[in-house]
Amino acid sequence: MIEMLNVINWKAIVEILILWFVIYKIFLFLKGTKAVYLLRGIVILVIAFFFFQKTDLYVLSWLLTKFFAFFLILIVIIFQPELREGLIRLGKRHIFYIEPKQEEIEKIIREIVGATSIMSKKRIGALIAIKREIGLKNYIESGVILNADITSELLQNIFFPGAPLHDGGVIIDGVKIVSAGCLFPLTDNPDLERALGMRHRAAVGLSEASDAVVIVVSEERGTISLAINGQLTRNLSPSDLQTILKGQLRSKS
Amino acid sequence: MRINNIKEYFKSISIKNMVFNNFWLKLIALGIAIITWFYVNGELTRGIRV
Repeated sequence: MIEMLNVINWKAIVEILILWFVIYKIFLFLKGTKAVYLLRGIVILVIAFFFFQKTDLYVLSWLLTKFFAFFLILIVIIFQPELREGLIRLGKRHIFYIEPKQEEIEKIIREIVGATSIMSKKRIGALIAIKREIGLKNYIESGVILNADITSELLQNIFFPGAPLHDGGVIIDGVKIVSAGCLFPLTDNPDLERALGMRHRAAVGLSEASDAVVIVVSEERGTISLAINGQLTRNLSPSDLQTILKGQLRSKS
Repeated sequence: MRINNIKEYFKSISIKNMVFNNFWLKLIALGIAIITWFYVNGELTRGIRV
């Protein structure tokens, strides 16, 4: 034990801190994704590996070592989309990230919740994505660029049945509706209810592919749902939506 | 980046939030980091001795 403590110097502390930061960021990234199940599997295998080594079960230990080598290649293939997204996130982080002002955020939330509430009552389907840190350029370009101020009336107008842009999603960046009629990626999450339509699947899909907050209003039932990090929260009341949005889009300044 | 923005950024940092947000995740990550470091350091030292 004392021998172990002897090796601790400032370089060791720096190395441990860097390791800690990287591991923590990986955990944060994996939190709430299906990769968590994979992580659990890895933890079990690692514990088994150490157990086999300590108990001198050489054959099992050798087999696990060989399996790990294949496993690394398997991980790259199976989790190619997650790995790609992780690298994108890594590149998108800004050290001095400045969030919009609190008053602006509150105004945006008021307008969105107002529009959502009315559309929910009238059973008008809607799909609204609010961009956070990760860029949504590809999806923005798939729709019609608007760059318009956010107002409840404009949102209702976009999603009005029969309107040219009502079928796709709207993307909000900061205080602007940047694009409408956008195509979002559909999720392949098997845990989602089969009864959910394409709009809900697109919302979950976009929230998996980015850190965007995506609001869905069901055309059939008029219910309001919210997708964040691949998780869909359904049957929200306008006040629930407002509270969650305030928490998710809160300005730290 | 304007100096004001950088000042605003540093003002917005809360030590309490930094410590207590995802506290357990941070603690587990720290544990794994320490175990990993000692394991790798042990392996490297053993390699050098051999």
